[in-house]
Amino acid sequence: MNRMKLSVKLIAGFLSVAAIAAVIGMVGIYYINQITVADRQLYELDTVPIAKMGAIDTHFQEVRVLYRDFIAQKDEAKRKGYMDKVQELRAANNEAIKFLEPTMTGPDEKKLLDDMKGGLAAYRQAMDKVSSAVAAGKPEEANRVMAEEGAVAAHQLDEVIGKLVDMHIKDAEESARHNQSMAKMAITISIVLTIVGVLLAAGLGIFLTLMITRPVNRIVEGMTEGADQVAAASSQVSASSQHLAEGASEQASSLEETSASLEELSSMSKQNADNAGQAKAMMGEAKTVVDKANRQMSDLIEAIGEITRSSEETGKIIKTIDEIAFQTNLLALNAAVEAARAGEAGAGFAVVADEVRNLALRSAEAAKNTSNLIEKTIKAVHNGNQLTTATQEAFKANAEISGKVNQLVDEIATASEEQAHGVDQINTAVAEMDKVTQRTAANAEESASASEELNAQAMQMRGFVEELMAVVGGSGAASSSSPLVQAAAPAPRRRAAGDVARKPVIKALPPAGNKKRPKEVIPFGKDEEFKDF
Amino acid sequence: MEAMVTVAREGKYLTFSLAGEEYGIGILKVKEIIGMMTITRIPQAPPDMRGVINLRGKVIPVVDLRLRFGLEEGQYTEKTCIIVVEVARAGAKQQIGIIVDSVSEVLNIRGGDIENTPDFGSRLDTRFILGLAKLGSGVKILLDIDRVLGNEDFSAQIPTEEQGNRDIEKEMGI
Repeated sequence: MNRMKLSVKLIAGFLSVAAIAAVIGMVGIYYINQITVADRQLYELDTVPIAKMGAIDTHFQEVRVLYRDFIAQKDEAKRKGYMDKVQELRAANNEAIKFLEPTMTGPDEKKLLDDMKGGLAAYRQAMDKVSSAVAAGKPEEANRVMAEEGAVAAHQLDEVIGKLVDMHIKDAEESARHNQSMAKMAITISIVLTIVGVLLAAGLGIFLTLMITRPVNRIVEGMTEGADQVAAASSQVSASSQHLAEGASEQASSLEETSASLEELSSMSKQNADNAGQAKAMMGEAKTVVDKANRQMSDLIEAIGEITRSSEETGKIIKTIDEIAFQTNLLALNAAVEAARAGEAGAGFAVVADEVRNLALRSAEAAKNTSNLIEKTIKAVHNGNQLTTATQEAFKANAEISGKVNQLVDEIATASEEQAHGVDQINTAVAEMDKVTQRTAANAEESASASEELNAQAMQMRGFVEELMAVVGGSGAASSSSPLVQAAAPAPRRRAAGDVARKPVIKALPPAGNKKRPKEVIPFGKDEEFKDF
Repeated sequence: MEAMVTVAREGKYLTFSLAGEEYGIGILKVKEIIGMMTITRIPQAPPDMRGVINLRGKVIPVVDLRLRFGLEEGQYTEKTCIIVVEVARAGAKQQIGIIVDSVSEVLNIRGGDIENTPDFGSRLDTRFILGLAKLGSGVKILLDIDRVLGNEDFSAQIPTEEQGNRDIEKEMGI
């Protein structure tokens, strides 16, 4: 049932109430019909036959009078007129009896009717005798028959008719009683049915109302909450959008600074690249210098080798001199030995030999000194050679390092150029970023105003919800208003200069507080019944 | 006796060095001083006998004085000389070359500067030493080359010649 549509629910409810009314009406109609039929029966079977019987009695009495007159009348024509009248009345009575025949329902009635018929027939026979007696010209006979047979028959007939009338009156009374009781029963049933129907309709109404108002109340609550939340959220969005806008403008200023720094950086990179190029050129010069120095070092090594060779040559010469000195020394010694052998004669020679030996010794000494010097020289040259080799190695290393430095400087130059290029690109990107940031700021402001509008719409929605609450729960339920929404509502509106002036949507809609009473929208009947829901 | 010996030992000596010590030979014993030359080894010769040299057509045996004195064998250098001496052997004069580290000079040593060899004990034969010449702060050992190159193999008797030298030095306060 809960899943059914509202219209289905309402239609079903009202149809149920209509069905109840129809049942009540049908029952009433049925009973009224029954009473009508019974009434008609009362009329047709009881009242009309009484009248007819009265008519028969009257006709009979007329016939009796006519026959009396017939007897007394002498004029043939008048007699004939009486007879015609009698025939007429007899026909009327026959007709009335024919009418009465179907109305006689009970066996007693039928018997009485037969008796009446018999009485009429007997009277007719008596009257026929009277007629024939009159025709025969015997009025005494006729009077006698009239007084005897005719009176008996008439008396019988009167009795039968009286009985029949009584019987019919009794029947009519019974019928009337029956009808009364039936009417009472119909009234009772109608009252019961009406009460039941009213109760059912009221129950259905309550049930339906509950069915409808409960979910609507829930929805209203939810919508109120939702509207509040939307309002709060929109105010938050508004605040954050404003923050965002501020942040974006800060970012924009930062980006401008960044851009300026980047330009500096770019110029520095370019300068760096230039310097690196200069350094490269200088390194090239340094390389040529180092190469030159290297060549000169090679020359120096060659020169030192030359010196070494010369020193060795000199050393050889000195050695020769030393050998000569040694030999001279030996010779001098031999000479001294010889002089000693010669004794006194060799004394002078011994002196000479001694001098020679001294010279040889000095020679040897000088040679030794020279040799030492040369050795020192050679050592020094060797050291120099080593140093030169080391220097050459160092120069080679230097050259290598120069090459590497050259390469590095080259790379630095390339890198600096690339850096400058990259910085240019970054600059472009930063400009783009700046644009984007400006746009973001504008968008943020727009979104702030949009969220304010959203807030207003949430408020409006809240108004609608209140209206709905008023509709559902009466005027008392719609008075509460969230302070959050009210607090969020008067947020200041800031728009970017280039922002498209937006028509506030709220103006296009009817004001939230319009004065439509809920009762006017859905007339629920008595308010008291639904205040509880 | 003492004075006579002193007078007899006075004269000119050819000094040479051997293993750091200075030795002296009487100049008259010296025939000739020559530089180092090719030595022909003689099989079966004693270790100190280095071999023979051909000195101007004359074959002369050569003795390594280091080995003769039982000293450490030294390398022959440019200064190594062969002193050809004339010694009396078996009554005949014979020329023998002795290898010395270097020849120094011809010195005139006075008798007063020569001292007798001190007694190192009966075990040590010091007969081949003429005396010890005091010159300056050093001492030169004056050799009796005849005895040094004599037939007796004194090297066996003085296996610790070096030790003996040191003893001498010690005794002399060096």
